[in-house]
Amino acid sequence: MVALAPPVWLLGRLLDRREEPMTPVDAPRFAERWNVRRIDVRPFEVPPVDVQPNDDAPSDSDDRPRIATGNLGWWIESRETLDVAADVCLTPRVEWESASATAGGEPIDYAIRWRRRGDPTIYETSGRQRRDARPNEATASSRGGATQDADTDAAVELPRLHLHPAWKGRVEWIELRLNCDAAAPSAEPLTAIRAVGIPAATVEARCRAAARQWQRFEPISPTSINSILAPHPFGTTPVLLVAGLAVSAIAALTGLRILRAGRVPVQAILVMIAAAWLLSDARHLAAQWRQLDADETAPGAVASPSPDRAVAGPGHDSFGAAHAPPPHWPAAIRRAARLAEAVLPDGAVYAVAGGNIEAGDTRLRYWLAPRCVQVNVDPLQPRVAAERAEFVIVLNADAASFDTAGGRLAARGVPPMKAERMAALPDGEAIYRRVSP
Amino acid sequence: MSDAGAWIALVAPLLLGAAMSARGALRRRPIAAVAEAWIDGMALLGGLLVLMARAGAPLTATSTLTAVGAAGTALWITRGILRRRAGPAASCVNESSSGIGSGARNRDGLNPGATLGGAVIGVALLLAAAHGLLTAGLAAGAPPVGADAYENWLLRARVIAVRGELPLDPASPYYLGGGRVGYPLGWPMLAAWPSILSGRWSDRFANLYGPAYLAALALLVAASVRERLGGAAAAAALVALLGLPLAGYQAARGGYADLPLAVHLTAGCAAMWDGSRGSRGRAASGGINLLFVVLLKREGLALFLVMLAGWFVGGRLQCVDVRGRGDPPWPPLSTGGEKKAAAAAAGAKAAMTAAAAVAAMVLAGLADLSYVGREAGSIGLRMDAIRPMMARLFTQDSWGVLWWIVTPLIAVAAARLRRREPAAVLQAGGLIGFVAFVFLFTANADFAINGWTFDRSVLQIAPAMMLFAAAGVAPDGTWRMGSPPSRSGF
Repeated sequence: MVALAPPVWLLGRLLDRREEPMTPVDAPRFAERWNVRRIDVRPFEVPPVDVQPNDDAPSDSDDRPRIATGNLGWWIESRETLDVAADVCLTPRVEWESASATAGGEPIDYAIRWRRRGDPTIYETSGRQRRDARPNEATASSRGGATQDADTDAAVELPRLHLHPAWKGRVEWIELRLNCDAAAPSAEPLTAIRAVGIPAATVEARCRAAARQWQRFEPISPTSINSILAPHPFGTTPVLLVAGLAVSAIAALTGLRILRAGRVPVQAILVMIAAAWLLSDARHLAAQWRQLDADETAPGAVASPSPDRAVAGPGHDSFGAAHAPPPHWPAAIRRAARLAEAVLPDGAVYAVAGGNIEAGDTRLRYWLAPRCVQVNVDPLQPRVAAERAEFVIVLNADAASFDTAGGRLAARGVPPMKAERMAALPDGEAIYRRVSP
Repeated sequence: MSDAGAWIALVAPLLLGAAMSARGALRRRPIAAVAEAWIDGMALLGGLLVLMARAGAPLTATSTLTAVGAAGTALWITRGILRRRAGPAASCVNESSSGIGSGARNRDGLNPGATLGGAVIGVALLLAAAHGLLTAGLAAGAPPVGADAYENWLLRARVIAVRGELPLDPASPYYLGGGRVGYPLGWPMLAAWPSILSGRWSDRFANLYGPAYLAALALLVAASVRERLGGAAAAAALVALLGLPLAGYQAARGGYADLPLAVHLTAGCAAMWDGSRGSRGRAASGGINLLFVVLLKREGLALFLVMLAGWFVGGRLQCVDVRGRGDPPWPPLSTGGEKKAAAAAAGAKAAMTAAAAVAAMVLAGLADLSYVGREAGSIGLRMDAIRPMMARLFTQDSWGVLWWIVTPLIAVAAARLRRREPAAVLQAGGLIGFVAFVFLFTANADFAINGWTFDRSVLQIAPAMMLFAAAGVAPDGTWRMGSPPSRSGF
C-alpha cells in the first residue's frame, strides 16, 4: 500500500479538476458568471460599452446562442469570484464564430489581467495569438452582405499563459480583452461569442505544458528572485516532475522486490533519489548559465566601461558616483537617472511621473539617494508629501502634460503646478521645476 | 582605500572571529574553524556597527576600523584570561568534539566504500565547483535586482555609506537610512561597510558578502558533516547547499537578508548544540550568532526566542531524562548526579535565558516592533494555506528534490536524538514550527498562497535542518565517544 501511494498521488494530481467550465451564453448562469461587453475601439480611447448578450445578433440559420458584434473588440470579465486552479486550468477559452472560413484566420490581439486569491496585485500580459479554428460545415451564414459557404467555429486560447510567473495558485478574477488594440485593429471583426470558460486542461495538454515548462527559462527578476516561478501542470514546478518520476520508479521497484524477496532495496532507492537530485541540479546549473548569458545580452548592457560611466554631474555625493545605472533597468529610467544626476541640485525634493510607485520610482530613489529626496507616501517609511516636490521627473510623455503657453504642469500623483522645463531628452524624459504653486 | 577596502572588509571579520576561537581549533578542524571564525566575526562586526550607528558615531573607515580593532583586541585578551583561569588541561580539550555540529572521531562511521566514496566525492566536487563558479560569475557581473534592494536594504546601505552616519532625526526623509524603518539595521550596516572602507559607493561592494556568506555556510556544513559521516556525505552536502537555488540567487544578487540570516542561524544552532554539551566558548559563539539574527530581520527576534526556549526546556529535560539510563554524564548539568546541583544548573540556565531574552528585546527595540501587534491581531488558522505550502515545499527555489532526502532524515534525527539531545530536537522542531505557524496562523498565509516569501522562510532554516538531519544519521555511539568537553571552551 505504501508503495502504491506515490503513483496514486501523482495520478490524482493529473486528474485534479478545479475549473470554471465552459458556459454557453444562453445558459441561465452565464450572466452571473461573466460580464461580456463590446468595445468600441478608437485610437487612445477604449471605453467599454454595455451590450446585452444577443441584443444585436445577426439572424443566422443556426439557432445556437451567441453574442454578436459588428465592432472590433470584446471585453470579458468574470463577475463572481472564481475558484480556478491555474496549475490545472492552463488558459481561459473563448469560443466564437468567425467570419473567416480559413483555418486560423487573422491573429487576435489579446490582453489579459487577473488577480489571485490572497494577492491584491493585478497581473497582466498581452500579445497576439493565432486562432485555433476549425470549419463548421453544419452552419451557413451571411454577414455584411457577404455570404459564406461555411462558418467557422473558433476559439481563442493563450497557450503561453501558463508560463507566466504569476499564473499560478488560485485565480479569482480575470479580465480578457480581445482585438482591443487601437493601434493595430484587426482586419477581421470577431462575430459572435458562443461560450466562455476556464476549463481544466486534458492530461495530454498538461503533459505538453510540462515539457514546455521544463525548457522554460525564467530570468531572475524582482519577481522571480522572490521565488515566484512559472507554474507546472502538476501543480508546482518542474522539480516535481523529476521527483515524481523517481518516486514512482522507487515505488514500483520496491513493490516488486517486496513481492519477490520480501525486503526493501535501500541502495536502489538511494541511487534513484540521487539521480533525481542530480537531474534537477543539472537543470538549475543550466539555468544559471543562461542567466549569465541573459545578463550579458540584456538591453542596454555595457560590456566594457564606456566614457559615460565616468561622467560626474554637479553636486555629486562625496563618493562621486562613477558608474552607470544598472544595465537591466529600462532605458527610460537609465536616461532619466543620468539626466537627474546632471540637473538636480543637492537636497532637491522631486516627484516622478510614470514611475513604478505613486509619484515616485524606487530605482530613481535609490540612485539619487541621499543627495536628493523623493516624494514618498508609504506609511511605513519616512513621509515626504507630494506638495513638497520642487522638481518633477517625467519618464514618458503620457505620464504628464505640460501647457507650454501657460506653463502649467499636470502629472500623475503630483498637484498641478506652474513649472518650467529644465531639461528634456528626445525620447520624452524631462525634468520640470516648480515656479509657483 | 579603493578596492583594498573591500579586501579588508572581507578579511577583518575573520580576524575578529578568530580572536574568540578556541586554541588549536585551526589545527584540529581548519576548514570548520575558518568558516566559524568568519561567521562569528560577521556577527560581531554587524553588531558593533549597529551599536556605533545608533550611538550617533561617525561611520568612517578610520572610526570603524578602530572600533573593530579594539573589539578584537579586547576579545583576545578576554580569551587569554579565561584560558588561564580554566587551567592548562581544559585549554587543550577539543571542546566541540562531542556536540552535534562536529565530532571528528566519528568521520568513518558511515564509510560508503573507498571506490564509491571516491567517485561520489569527485562528482560532487565538480558540481560544487561549477555552482561556485557560476554564482561567482553572476555576482561579479550582476547588480542587485531585488525590489527590496531598492526600497529597503541597499537603499539604506547607500544612504549610510554616502552620508557616513546613520540619520537619527525622525523628521529626516532618510531617518534610519530611509526605506521601511521597522526593518532591522544589521544587513544594511554590513552592506555599507565595504563602501565605507573603499571611499565610494558601489553595488558590487554592497553585494560583497553574498558569495562569501554562501561559501562560509557551505564550508561549515560540509566540515560538520564530514566529521560525522565522512567525505562522500560531506561532498554531497556541499553540493546540496551550493545548489539551493534561492541561496545562489541571493548570494549573487543581493538585496535580501535571508541568506545571512540562514548562515548565522545555522552557525548559532551548531554552536549552541555544542555549547549544550558544556563548551562555553561554543555557547558564546552560538549566543552571538543568534543575537545577531535579531538584528538581521524582523522574524529574527521570534527565531531567537524559539531557540532560547528550546535550549532552556531541553536542558531541563536533559537533567531529568538522562540520569540513570547508562548514558554518559552531561558535565555542566548533571556531573555528580545531585538533585541540588541539577537544580542549580537549571537555575543558572534560566537566568542566562532570561538575560539573553532581555538582550534580544533591547536589540529588537532598536527597530520598530509595531508589526508584532499587527501580526498578533491576525492570528487564526488558515486552512487554505496548507495546500500551497505543501506545493511550495517541492519547488525549485527552496528545497527542490532535496526535500525528499532531508525531510525523512530530520524525522530520523528527531527520533534518534530525542533523549540525548533534547535541546537540539526542540530547537529544530521550534524552527519548523515557527515557519509553519507564521504561514498557517497569521496574515502571512496570503504569502504562502501566492508564493511569496514562503520559500525565503524555508531558506532561512534549511541549512540548520540539514545539519540536524546529518547529525541524526550518524552511526550509533557518536554521542558517547567524545572527550569530556571543556567548560571554558577558550
